[in-house]
Formats: sequence, C-alpha cells, structure tokens
Amino acid sequence: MAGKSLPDTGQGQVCGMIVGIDLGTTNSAIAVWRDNAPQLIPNALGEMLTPSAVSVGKDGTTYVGAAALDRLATHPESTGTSFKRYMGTERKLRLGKTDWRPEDLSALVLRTLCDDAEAFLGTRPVEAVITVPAYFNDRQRKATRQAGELAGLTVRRLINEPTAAALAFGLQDQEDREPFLVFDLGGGTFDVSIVEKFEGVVEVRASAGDNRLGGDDFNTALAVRMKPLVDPEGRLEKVDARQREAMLHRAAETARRQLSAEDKASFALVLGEDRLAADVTTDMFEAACEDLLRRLREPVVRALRDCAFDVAELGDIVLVGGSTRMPVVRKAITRMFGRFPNSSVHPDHAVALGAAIQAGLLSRDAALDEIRIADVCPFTLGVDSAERDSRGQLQHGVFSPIIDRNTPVPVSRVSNYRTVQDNQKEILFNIYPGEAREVSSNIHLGAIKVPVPARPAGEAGADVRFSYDSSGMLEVDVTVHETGVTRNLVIAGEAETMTDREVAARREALAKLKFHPREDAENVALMARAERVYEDFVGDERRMIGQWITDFVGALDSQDPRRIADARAQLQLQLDTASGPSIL
Amino acid sequence: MTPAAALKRLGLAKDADVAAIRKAYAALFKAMDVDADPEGYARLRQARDVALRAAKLAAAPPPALAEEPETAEEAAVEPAAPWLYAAPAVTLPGAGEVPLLIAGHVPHPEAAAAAPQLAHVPDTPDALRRALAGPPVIHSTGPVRADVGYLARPDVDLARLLHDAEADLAPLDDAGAAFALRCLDALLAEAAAANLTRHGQIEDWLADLLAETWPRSAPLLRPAAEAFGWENERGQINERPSIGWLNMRLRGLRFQDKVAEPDHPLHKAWAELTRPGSATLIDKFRIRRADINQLLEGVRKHFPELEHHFARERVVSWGDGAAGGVGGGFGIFRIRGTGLTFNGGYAISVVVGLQVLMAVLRGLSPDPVVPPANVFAPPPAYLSSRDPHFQKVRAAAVEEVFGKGKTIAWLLEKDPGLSGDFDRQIMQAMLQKKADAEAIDGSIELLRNRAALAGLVAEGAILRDLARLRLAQTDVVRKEGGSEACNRFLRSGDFGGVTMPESVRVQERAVAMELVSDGSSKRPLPAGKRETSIPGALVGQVIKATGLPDDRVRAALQDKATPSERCTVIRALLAATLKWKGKEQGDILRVM
Repeated sequence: MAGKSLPDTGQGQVCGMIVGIDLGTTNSAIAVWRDNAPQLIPNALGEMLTPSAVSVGKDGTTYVGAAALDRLATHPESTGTSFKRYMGTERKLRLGKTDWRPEDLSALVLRTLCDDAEAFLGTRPVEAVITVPAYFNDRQRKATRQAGELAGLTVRRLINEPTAAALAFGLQDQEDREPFLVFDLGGGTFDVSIVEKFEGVVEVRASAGDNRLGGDDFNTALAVRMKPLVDPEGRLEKVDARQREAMLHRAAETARRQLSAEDKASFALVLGEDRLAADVTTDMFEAACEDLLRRLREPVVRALRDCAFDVAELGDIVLVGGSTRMPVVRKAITRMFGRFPNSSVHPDHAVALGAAIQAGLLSRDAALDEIRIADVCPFTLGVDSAERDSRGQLQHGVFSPIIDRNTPVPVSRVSNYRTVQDNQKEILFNIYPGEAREVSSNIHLGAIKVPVPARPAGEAGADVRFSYDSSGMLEVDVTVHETGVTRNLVIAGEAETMTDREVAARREALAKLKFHPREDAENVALMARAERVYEDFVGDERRMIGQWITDFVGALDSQDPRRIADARAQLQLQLDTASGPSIL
Repeated sequence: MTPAAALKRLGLAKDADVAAIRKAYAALFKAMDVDADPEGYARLRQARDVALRAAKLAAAPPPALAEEPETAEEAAVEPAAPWLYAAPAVTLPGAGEVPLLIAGHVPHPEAAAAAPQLAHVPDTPDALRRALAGPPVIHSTGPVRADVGYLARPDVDLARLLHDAEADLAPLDDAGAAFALRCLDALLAEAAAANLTRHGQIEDWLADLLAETWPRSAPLLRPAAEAFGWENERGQINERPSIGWLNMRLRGLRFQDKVAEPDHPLHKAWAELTRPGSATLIDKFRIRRADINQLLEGVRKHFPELEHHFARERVVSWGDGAAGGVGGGFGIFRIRGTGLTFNGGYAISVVVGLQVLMAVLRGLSPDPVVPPANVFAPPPAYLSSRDPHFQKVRAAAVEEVFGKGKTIAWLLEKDPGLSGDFDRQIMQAMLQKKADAEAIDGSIELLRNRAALAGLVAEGAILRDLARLRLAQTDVVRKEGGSEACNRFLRSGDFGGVTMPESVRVQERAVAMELVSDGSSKRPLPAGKRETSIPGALVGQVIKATGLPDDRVRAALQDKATPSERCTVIRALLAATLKWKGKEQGDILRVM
C-alpha cells in the first residue's frame, strides 16, 4: 500500500469508505470509522442490530432482517435463519420455491446492511472488512468472502471476531494491558482468544474455538428437554418438521430470554387452536445444557496451554456475543476463572466496532497511526503423508503438520516430502486443517497432484509451501525438486469454486430480487410482527389481533402518510401490550 | 537464534530489559509491512521472543539456596507445586480482586479469613454470589453411607485405597470399588464447580493416580474419562502422555466388553483362552487357530493389561511359549534379559526386552511405595510446597543428587519435568511420614532410574560414562550384597538396599549433571525389543578376563549359569566392551 496517498481526514469525512461488518449467526451489524472513532450505523428501523434472517414472500418479494425473523413463525417454509452455520458446505436452504446457498442468503443480509450505510453516509460502501469466527476454516472463510462479492463489496480483509472484539476493548484507552481473554459465545460459534496489548500493538497470543457451539445449541437443548413436558401426546410429531423446529426454537428462544431476567419462565407454543405450555426453571435449564457448559471449558484450556499462560496471569475476561448474557453461561465463566468477567464492551456491538477499527487501519487513518494488530492461525494445517511403522509397513493417512496452530500470521512455511515407492509417477498432497494424528479425522480442504520423475523410492521429492495470510486464507505451492514443476492452489473445494463470470451472474440475479422500498421497512416489519403475534394467541385474543391487523391494512391502503404513521404507532402499542416488547 | 543475535536484530544493547525489548519490537513491527514479508516478520517475532525470555531469566531474583524463604514474597515465586492430595487451595483476595472460595474439605484458617469478605462484594447478583461461593460439594454429594461414614478427604482416601501395598494393584473388591467410586464422585463434583486452575490440578492428579495404580483403578477410569472428556483428546497431536495412556486402557475395557458378546468374531477364542486348564484336542477342532493367534497378537500389541485374563496353561497348550510374560509385570519397570541365544560361530545375540512404563517415565520409584493399608486411618497433615521443612528436604535432595550449590530453581530451568518429579517424589515420601534421609534416598533412586533409561538411548561420551558408573555400582552391589543381589541388579537395576560409597556417589553426581545438561533425561525411549550381536573377539576377551571355560561363559550369557558366574561374566563383558574400539560398542552398551 506504500505510495498510496493518505486520504483527507477532515471532519465528517469517511476515510477510504471501508465499512466494518459483523456478519453474525443471529444478528449482523455494520460500523464505520469516522471522526476518529468507530461508529455503528442504524438500520431502517433505527436498530443497531439486523437479524440475519431472509424470507421470501409468495409474490417473490424478499424480506431481510426483523420482518424476515417474524415471518419465521408465520412462514417457516420460506424463511431462513442461522445460515451462517452452513457457510462453506454444500447444503442449500429451500425458501419458497428456490434453493439458496448460504453465501446467497448472507449476501442479501450484507446488501441490506450496505443500503443502511448508504442512507446513513450518503455514499454506498464498496469495500469492507468482514468478521468471521476465529475457528472458521478456510472453506468457510472463502464462502464469507464470496458472500461479500455477491453483495457487490470488495472484501479487503477478513478479521477474526474475538480479535475484532479485542481491538474494540483494547482501544478503549491508551494504556498497556496485561493479557486478557476474549470469550466470544455467539449464536452459532464459540471462540476464545488470549490477547496482549503493549505499545499500541494488539497481539493475539492464542485462539481456540468450537465452530459448532452457540446460543442456538442452548435453544435446542432446552427444546429437547421441554418437548416431552409440553407435548406428552406427541401431537407435534404430526406437524411438518421445519415448522415444528421453528416453533420449538422460538419457544425456547423466548423462554431463554425470560430466564436471563427471572428464575422461572414459560415455554409455550401455539398448535392450531391450542396453547401448549410448561414452566421451566433456571435449574432445569442449567441441567439441560450441562454438556454445552462443559464444552465451554475445552477451548479455554487449550488456548491457555498453547500460550503457556496460567489463569492467574490473565487480567480481564472480556465477554462478547449475545449468548454471554445468559446467566447460566456467566455463572459457568465465573466458576471457570474464579472472578467476575468484564462487561465493559457491548457484547453485540464490540465485533462490528472492532471491524470498523480494522477498516480504519486499512485505510491508514492518521488517528490509528500508532495501532497495529497481530493475529494467529488458530488451527494446525498440514498434508497427509505415509510413514513406515516399526515393522516396516507403510502407514498411510498420517497427518504431517506444516503450520502449527497459534503461529503468528501472516506466515509462510515449507516442508519437504519424498516418494515412498520405487518409480512413483506422481505425488498427491491432500490438505487438511485439524489436530488429529490421522487425517481421516480432519476436514479435507483440497488436493494437489504433481508429476515426479520415476526414481527409486525417496529419491524424488517436492517442497510444499503453505502461506497463510492476514485474512486467514491459505495458499499452497508445490515445487518438484528434480524438474522444477510447480503447482499452486488457493484452497476452495472443487465443487464450490465459481468462476468470476459465475459470480458476476449470480450477483446480477440477486440484485434483481424484489425488495420492499426502504421507506416501507417499518410498515413491513410491523406487519410481520403483528402476524407473528396473531399466531401466538388463540380464541378471542387472536380474533382481536386479527381486527387490529385489518385496521392497519386499511390505513396502509389509504396511502395517507399521516394516517399510516398514526396507525403504526397504535398497532405498535397494541402489540406491546399484548405480548410484551418485541423479542429483538 | 542466540539472545545476543536477537537483541542485535532488535537494535538493542546487551542489557536491555523487558520494557525496552517490547518498545523496540513495537517500533520495528509498526515500520514493516508484514503481509509483504511474512518471513521477516517471523524472524522479528522470534527475535522478540528469544530476547524476552533471556531478559526475564536475567531479571528473575537469584534463587534462594538451601535457606528457607524468609518473606512471603519469596515464597510466592516458588514454582507451583503439583496438586497433591487435594490440599485446599485458597485464593486470598489481592488488590481489586474478588475473593474466591474454592470448596475446601478441611476448615482452613486462610479460608475462614477470606469468607467474610464475600459478603462485601458490592452489586453481586444472587446467582453469581452463589457461583462464587462454590457449592459445598464434597460434603453434600449423595447420601452419607453409614458403613463408609463422613468423607472428609476423598482424595487422600482414594489415593490410599488404590496405592494399598498389600493389595499390590490387585483388583478392588465390591466394597472397595463402591467406596472408590464415591470418592471419585466427590472429586468430580468439586472439579465441576472449581475454577480452571483447580479443575486442571484435579484432572492431572487423577490421571496420574489412575495411571500409577492401574489396573486397580480400572473401575474409576470410565467415569473420570467421561467427566474430563479425555477421549476427545484421543489421537490428537498434543495428546498428553498420561491421558493417551489412559485412553488406550479405556479402549481395552471397551474391547473386553465387546468380546464378551457372543456375536463378536473373536468371542469364541476369548472364551477359550480365559478358561482354566489345557486345551483338549476337541477344543483345537472347535476353535480356529487363526482366531486364537489374532486375539493373542492383538491383545499383546494393543491391550497388554488384558492378558492377565487368559489362563496361562491354556495359552501354553495352544503352543505359545511367551504366554504370561507381559501381563504379570505390567505396571512395574523391568529390564529383562530374555535368553541369550548362541549362534554357532563366535557371535552372541543379546535380546533385551524393555518394558518401559509411564510410571517410570515420570520417574517414580519402581517398587510401589505406599502408606500402611488402613483405608480409614486419619488423613496425613496437609503439606504445601511452601512448607519450610519440605523445601529444606528438597534443597538437600537436589544437592545430594547433583552436587553442592545446585538448587531446585536451577533444575527447574534445566529440566522442568524432572524438577516436578522431584517435588512429587519428596512430597509423597513426606506424606508417608518417611524420614528425611529416606526421602533423599528416594531422589537418588529417581535419578538412577533416569540414568538407566537414558542408557538405553545415549550415545558417545555420556554412554560410556553411564557404563562406567554401572560397572562401579555392580562391583559395590556384589561386594556388599553377594552374587544374588548382583544378578538382580544387572537384571532390573534394583540396588537391593546396598548403599553406594562416596566414590561412587561422586560418579553418580557427575552423570546426573551430564544427563540434565545434554537433555538425555528428556529423550524419547525406543519401544519394544532390541537386539545386538557381540563380536566373537569380544567374547574371547571375556573368556580371558574371567578365566572361565568357553562353554561356561556361553551358559552364563544364556542365563543358565549360577548367579555368581553370571555376575562375573556380565561384569567382564561390560568392562571389555568399554575398552573395545569397534563400532558395536555403542549398541552393546545400550542393551546392557
């Protein structure tokens, strides 16, 4: 970037126009570096968080955010949530009549966030820093980057979520900090990072995580525990699986939130004309998620062991991610560390703010001149190899690490491999991240095959270079010693590789989707919420809510802005009284 | 990269302190584009890490020698001792720190002092207050059984039950198993409620205990492994050695369960081999020999501890000469000379079977040292690593083993693993109320074991020094204990209670220093059997030196002679090999 002129940092001006985006499992947020500070951008409803949900209406209209989340209850068959969990897999989600890849759905969320940024800043962002869980593997990172491209963004950098949170926490003041631990439990993923800050350098010492553990799993555990209690006759079994999942998930989510404030909550769902409900206590919930709470320990222990720190040497325990609000989780954390965690950063905002700081760093903002960040590669990366055992037999599928976990990034390492058979014609390198000695237990990322000259075993060989960049993307170069033949692979599963043209075509297709105009967002969201609340009640109350909706639709039809605004305020008030404030 | 080179890379003078290193590193880091030069960045990081390590070592206060620490601060820099017998670890409130009470089993003055402060933590939500206080798990888990009574110290009780000397690692009876499980439950409950440090201490302590007392500890393995998720670690690159070892035993237990099912392919073979008596002709028609061989081979390779289930007579009757050799010795360190075979000419092949167990890797004394076998005896007093008496004994032990002026801090820096073993061994001895001299003897023993193990992999000068030491030790053992003792010493390294004179002690100290300095004590050990040939000329020298006839020497090497002759011959072989200049020298010394 040397030689690029420094952008003007005058008042109100956005430097280089790079936005920072927290693309979460449950909620997403967008922020920007402005006036020497990171700043969150509100969405059309005035909220800082936009639910990561997409829904498709019968007429093909696409809903994103709060409206889509409310439609999960009323239209589960055409609504998608938590798709971040499937990033980097082949899995597709059917919404209405179309199959969607998780990248597509994420792109729609990103696009909505960019719309909000455009409305707020006056210019449309074209470059972004997007956060990913530290324990996201290469394929998942690649998918995230592609989602950005599909949304028309150039992804300048992927940054690990706990690292972003550490930036936000570390930059609260100028002081050096003793090593602190970022405990990031989100909707679908769990990351732990141990970070030091000295002389303006924010340095990640070790990261560990579990990319299959998050708030969603606590919902599932609660639902599994409560299902036999609310539905002893098994009536739910007759309901369509996706709808059943959605109902249970939402009942669990509501009960879980209630348990954050009280010792007892109601786990309730409406089936046809009946309301099925049972009480759940904090103790029951804690027992139901005992296994999950236990799984929180392992990454913490691993990270501490990797950087050879003792718990006593840690300063603050910084909580990030909405799921750290759960009292059961806080209790587990307090037990684990023997002290109260630090809640000085906003658990839902810290990651987006950190991404905005990274954006400011990338655009060389003068206010961040003295700040630098150093991250690590949280997992071991290597290739499969064959070894001779003590009896001289060839054992295949032995994992040979090239980059050890928690090596500072960017990093570039070479290892040398030789043929194991006489006159072997080619060497196949399978590339894996993981910690198991046998590759069969690790995730397969890709493969490279190189031809080698026919020689006796061990006399031909190749150098394998792994380069892991600051965004966590892996590049593999193989060079054959004898012939100088080289092969290069930027990791991506063969099946999901899209050419530039395909990406462009897909971007066009997504851009053509029909959306409600942004100024209608509030009405659309309120309407979706009213319909969801309608489903939550039975009998007279349901009929009454139906009447409210009819009134509101009447107001909308009048197209009189003042009448619509009044009706909107009234319906909002009515819904709040009926069901308590929106779960957002 | 040397510390000097590292400092140069950072542009610093020789005596730079931690702050200066960080500052210099930060400036260089900010000035470079790491994405353009990852290798330069890696070198800079390395320089910083090396320089920091050196600076921290230099800044560390000079280790207090044999004297006891005079102030609390000095005691605080003492390396953390392994969690021994679940002594209540109480975190005392520091500045700005919330006091935490960890469920202690024994009323502890420190705990009592910390307790009232909890009430003054401002704005504590009730749930958190409960979490902080820690449930009184030990006393309240499950109903108290009348016959067992009050579980005051589940850790001590469990250790004593498993280490019971009279039982000699025999399986627990039903009542014993029930009591052990109850102790385990209490410990697991405490671990589940504890902070990470203590959780880790309990986990490590339990893993060690279960491994040391295997197979007696078998009924506890599954619940413990499940509670700590040990199996998640299986097959990982940095699986901890003790956990890896236990995971293998866990698979053994599982195999045992599966093979007991009638539809398991090897079930018939298993049932056959576990029946007492010899195999009849009918048995040999009924059961496939291939299955028997597969089972025997598989069990010996993967789960040697299961071999004790087999009836030796029956295994032999299926034509297996090596039966029963493994199972019996499991858990105890043994270097065994198994039959020396004489091949016609003048070459003798020495086969030494090594059975090296983790108990030894961690340097425990080979004979199970255990407290008197009364399970319900009052628990020994709590012993802290800051206990002045313990520190005194330890300091004396380190000086005795490595020579004057050497301290535990020095050892910790040179070989942290060994220093941990020192701590453990001395604490164990003191908890067993052994005399100080006995505890120190234990440390000498520890180093002798290390030396014996190092001799299996050493090379060059250190290998010859080890051999010379062994020669000197052999002579003393023979002189003091007679040829039986000499023979036993040559086979298993057992000194039979013979004390070494100062001259040999000097030699032992020199070897101990060598071992620690060149890292030999940490080198991995080879597995399985090793074999080497003895050149005819060397055998000739043995014949000449001993004055024994050719066939008697051969008989001695084949372990068929009297103890006295065998001792003489092996000693002569050792002496002759030390003078031998041939390339076989190293190989022969390593198997001896």
